[in-house]
Order: sequence, then structure tokens, then C-alpha cells
Amino acid sequence: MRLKLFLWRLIFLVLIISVAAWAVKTKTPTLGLDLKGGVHIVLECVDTEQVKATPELVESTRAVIEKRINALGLSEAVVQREGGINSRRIIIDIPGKKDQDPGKIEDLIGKTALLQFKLEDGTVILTGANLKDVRVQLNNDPNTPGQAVIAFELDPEGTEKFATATKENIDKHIAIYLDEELLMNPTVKNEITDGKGVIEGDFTVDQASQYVALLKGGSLPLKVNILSSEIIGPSLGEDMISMSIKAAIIAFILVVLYMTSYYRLMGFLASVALAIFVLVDLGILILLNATFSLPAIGGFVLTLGMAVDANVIIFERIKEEIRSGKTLKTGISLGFTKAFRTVFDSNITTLSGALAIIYFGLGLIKGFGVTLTLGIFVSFFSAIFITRLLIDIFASTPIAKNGKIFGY
Amino acid sequence: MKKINIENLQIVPKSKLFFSISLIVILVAIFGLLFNIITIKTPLNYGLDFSGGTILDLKFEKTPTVSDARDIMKEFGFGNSVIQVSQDGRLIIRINETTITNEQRESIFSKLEEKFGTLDRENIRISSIGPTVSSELKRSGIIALLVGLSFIFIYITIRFQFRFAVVTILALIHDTIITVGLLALLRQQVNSPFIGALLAIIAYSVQDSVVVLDRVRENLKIYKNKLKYDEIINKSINQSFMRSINTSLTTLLAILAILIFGGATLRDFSLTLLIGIAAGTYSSIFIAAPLLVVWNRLSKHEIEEEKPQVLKPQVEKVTIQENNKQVKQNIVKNKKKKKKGGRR
Repeated sequence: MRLKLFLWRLIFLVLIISVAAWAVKTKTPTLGLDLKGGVHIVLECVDTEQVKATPELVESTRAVIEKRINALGLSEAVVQREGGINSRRIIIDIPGKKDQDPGKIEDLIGKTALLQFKLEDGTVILTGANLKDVRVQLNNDPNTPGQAVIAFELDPEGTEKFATATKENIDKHIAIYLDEELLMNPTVKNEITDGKGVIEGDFTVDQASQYVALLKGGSLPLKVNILSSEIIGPSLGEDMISMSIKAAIIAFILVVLYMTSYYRLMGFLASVALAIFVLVDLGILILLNATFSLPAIGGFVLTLGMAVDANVIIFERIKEEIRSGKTLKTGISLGFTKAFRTVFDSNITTLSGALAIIYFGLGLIKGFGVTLTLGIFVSFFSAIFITRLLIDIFASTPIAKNGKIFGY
Repeated sequence: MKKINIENLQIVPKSKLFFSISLIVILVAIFGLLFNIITIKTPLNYGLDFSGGTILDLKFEKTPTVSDARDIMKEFGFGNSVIQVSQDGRLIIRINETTITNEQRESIFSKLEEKFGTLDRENIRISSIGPTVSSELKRSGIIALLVGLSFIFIYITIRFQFRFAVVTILALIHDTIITVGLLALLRQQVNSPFIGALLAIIAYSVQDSVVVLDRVRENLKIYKNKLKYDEIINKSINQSFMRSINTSLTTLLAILAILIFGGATLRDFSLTLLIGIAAGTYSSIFIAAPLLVVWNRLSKHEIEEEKPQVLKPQVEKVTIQENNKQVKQNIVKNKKKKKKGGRR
């Protein structure tokens, strides 16, 4: 009967290890921006005098940005609205690539390409939303060779608005702004009813083409402000990965050395359990598709150190029981039962801290909360189940008679 | 381990010494916070996450010098930026403004390239955080701390009798002040990982105290007629001493690995954990349980002065409660029913 239970425990352990090993081996972990490099930008749509940032407009702004980024060939990019339906924030995540200057990417997104036609009193009469077509035209003026102009055509609504505005403002200026920058400030000579025109700026052909691409992808219906941006070169992330792997390995070795030298065989078995903990913890993190950011790895290494805490509490109990005259087997059994509540309780406090971190997740710190939480669960399992099983196996061997080697 | 006689450390009798050590460190910590408030207007050296601004973290062909870089930044009107060259030769420039345009950035880069050689564009980090986000991060950091703390307060009050709860919370406050204060004194830049680390140490330090106080509770039952209160406490501390040391030491080893090999980004994280867990270990051994003795002495004193008769019934009341709990727990154990006994 006992043997049967024993076998079941062993089978269960092997099963868990193989699933975790399979996950670690076959699946690639999702890396955070800080490790894989890339661009992360948070934009906020703001109200202007003309346009209110309604949820619909925020959504179309998002769509325009997505289109534009895709036009750059960055299909892996994710452009999403942050938070609830009324959120005015848009988050752009673009993974880093080799041979790519991430700063340039931001450059292209940063251009809001907000085209505005303004009257002398500053009233906006038209925006890029009314554009039907834009294209580059070479300037025929021989005085400025190589310069280009942007020809535009308005949609019916824009044509009408433009016609009214030009009619009412003859001999006055209508200024054309792109991203709040004054491009030209021509005087209206007569009413323009066909909705066509050219924008003359100090454009080179390249610049004009870039603007045209942006305007074509759709000018942003709303003005956006960059709230925060993070640009991380891909090789910087690589350095970080190798550093954190190094830190994790060294942490593991230190903990193993300490445990084995202090608790001898029991400590060594706890180290084996720790190695299994690492594998299972990693496996679950990968299966959960958790993002490995630097703080997340920090949390992981921290749980490496904390995972053996339960073992320490249990081992000290076992030693005490044996010192008070119990046999090894009773001592082990009593040690595990008596320490259970302490281990359980102490995990609950750490867990509440970890959950608070996740709940109020501050960006990348959420990853720390996640690894910490999972680490607590897995380490609890590791101490109560894996270490127990390993110790039970060795307790019935002749080595167990030697307290110095076994560790009591 | 027979090198030190851990069975008989005189911790309770020497508690005055240990309290004084804590008091001195706490005073130093508070001094650090006040000093910062006076000199840099904030209690802690807020990093980009909390203060906003822009960081350019760049790697050039040649190792840059701070003074050359400062001259260049002055030309762009950013003379008051914080400029550092890291150990691995990276140039780190922190500008207070968030609104640095791409054109501006590019011209700064080309000026720097003239001086220090080609910029490794695959190896750059440019972060900018606007005032909205930084104040949000600060606010949600504080909320996270408060929520985490209240979780733990509730847990402790449910878990322990009143007295134990109070000393645990005192130990917790002790650890938090020391951690935050020493980070202030070191002028360590803190970013959002700091909040995570602070929450982790708060939780962890409670865990440490729980281990010691659990033993106190157990021993109060076992030795209640055989030993004096302070002797029981001292015995409990001794019995759980190696546990406290070893659990903390293994965790500290892991943190040390992050601090030394984990790179600069996680420095505030690992330093917070290192100080906090060290303080937490100290407080669970030398502060929390010895405070129980102080409390016991004070309350006895009070009662003896006012109405001495109350003393006995009160002590008995506590022990009856403890016994009840024990009985209930045994019943629960035997019947294997739900665990919730008559706690508190």
C-alpha cells in the first residue's frame, strides 16, 4: 500500500518534469521590450478646439497609426488602445530587429501628419480628414529646382467647406499647417470650388514623398501627444539577457552550495528539488505565455532564494525532532507536518504582497509580481512534495543511519 | 553546527543593546530622508519613472568623458542634465525635459559622434516619460504599497492575538523606514521596480516575524509554568535563530547575485531587497519578540500599581484561550474537518 502510494508520487513527479521540460525545450519565451529591444510608445489623443477626442475618433486614430506602421513593413507591431472604451490612450509596441535603428521608427510614428487649414483668426476650416487624394508633384518653378509640392484633392464635404471658406475670405490668408508647423500662408484670390490645390513648402522630393505617404495612410483625425516612449536597441537587450541568465545561474549555485554544506544530504536533495523547481516554474511561465522582462527575471531569481526557505524551516524542525529523541522516519514525518502551517502562513504574506504588485501592475513590474506569485506556488509544491519525496526515498537507504551525512 | 552556541544566545537580556542599534539606524535613515528633502527637495532620488524626463543611454566607439559630453549638451541648452559614464563605458544623459524632438536628438547624436566616434545604434536606450505618466506611476505605486500593507495588516490581526500583531507591525515599520531611509542616504535612484521590491520585503519581513512568533506561541503553551516570560521568549528566539538566519541568507545570496551580475537597471530593485531583507531578519530576531517582553513588563507594572488582583485572571484568560485553541485544533485534526479554529 505504502509502496503503491510512493510509486504514484514518483510517477506524478516524472510527469510534471517532462511536461515542464517539453515546454522549456519547444516553446520560445516571450521577451519583454527591455530584453528584446524595440519601441514602446504611449500616445494620448487630445481635444483641440475643432475636434473632440471621442472614442470613435480615438479608434480611427489608432487604425491610422496601425496602417502607417504596417506600411513601414513592421507587421509584428501591435497598436492597441489602452484600458477601457473611454480611454484616449494608444499604445504602440514594435519589436526590435537587427540592423534597424529603432530611433528612426519613432521618427516616422511621431509624425502625426495633422494637416490643418486655418483662417486668419485661427479657426480651422479643414483637416486631413477631408483629404481624398494627395500626391507629389515636381515644382515647375526654374528658380527652385529639385523642389516638390504636394497636390491634394478634397472629398465632397471638404470641397464644400473649402469653397465656402474661400468665398468668405477673399483677399485674406488661409494658412496651411502640417503638425502645427506653418507650411504656407497664401492669399485667397478667388473662390475654389473644385476642392483641388497644391501645398508649397520648402520640400525636397524625399520630404514631400514622406509627407504624402503619411497623409495617404490617413492623417490622424486627432492630435496626439507622446506621453512616454521607450526605445531599446536589440543588442542592448541581448546584453541584458546574458547578464540576467548569469545572475540566475550564480544565484542557483550559491544557494545550492549553502544548502548542501549546511544541511548535507537533505540540503543536496533540497537543491535537486530546487533544480526541478526552476524547470517547472520556467515551464509554467512559458506555458502561461508570461512576458520575461528584467524585473520578471529579478523576481524569478528572488524566488530561487526564497524557494528553499520552506526547506530550511522543515529541516530545522526535523533536526529538532530527532534531537528530542525521535527516530529519523518519525522525525521527518513530524517535521513536515509541524512545519506545514508555518510554511503555509509565511507564503500567504508574501503572496499578498505579490498580488498587490500584479493588481496595481506598474508596467514591467507586473512581470515581477507574476513570477513572484507563481514562484511562491511552485516553491510550496516543491518543498512539500518534491523534497519530501526525495527525502523519503533516501530515508530508507543505509546512508540515513549516518546523521552527519544525512544532515541531522 | 557547533561553532556558535546557538542554543543559548542572550538576546532578550541584551535587548536594550539591540533596540539601541535599531534606533541609531532608524535615526540615520530619517536623517537621510530629511537631508534629501532639504537638498534635492524630494525624500528619495526619483528616477525617470517618477520624475519624468528623458534618458539617453548610448554607446560610442570611444569611451566618452563627462566634461566633453556636458560641453556638447550645453550647446543645446541642456547644460543642467545629469551626465554619467557607466563602468562599461556607456554615456548616460538624463534630461529633465520630455519634449525633446527627434531632430534635436539627431543633432545631439551627430555632435556626440564627432567627439566620441560612431554611435552603436543597435545598442541604444532612449526613454522619455512625460509628467502625466510619472505622476500616475507615483500614485499607483503609493496605492499598491497601501493596499499591500493593508492586506498584511488584516492578515496579521486575524492570524495573531493583538499583542503579536502589534509587534509584527512595529517590526514592519522598522524595516520599511530603514530600507527607504538608507536608499535615500545612498542617493540610489528609484524607479518603479523599487515599489515592487518594497512590497516584496514588507511581505517577506512579516514572514520572518511569523516564524519566530509562531515558536513563541508554541513555547508559551509548553513552558508556561516552568519558565519566566522573558526566558520563554529568549528560548523561542534561540530555537528559531538558525531558521531565520538560513532562510534570509539563501534569499540574500540570490539577491546578491542580481545586485552584482544583474546590471544597472535592477540596481534599485536588488539594493532595496538587500537592505530590506537584512533589516527584516534583524527585526524578527532582535526586535519583534523582545518587544513582547517589554510589553509584558510594562503591562504587568501598570496592573501591579493599579489593581494587582487583575493580573492573575488576565494571564489565565490568555492561557485558557491558548488551551482552547489547542483543543480545538486537535479536534479539527482528528476529525479532519475545516481548519478554522478559535483564533483570536
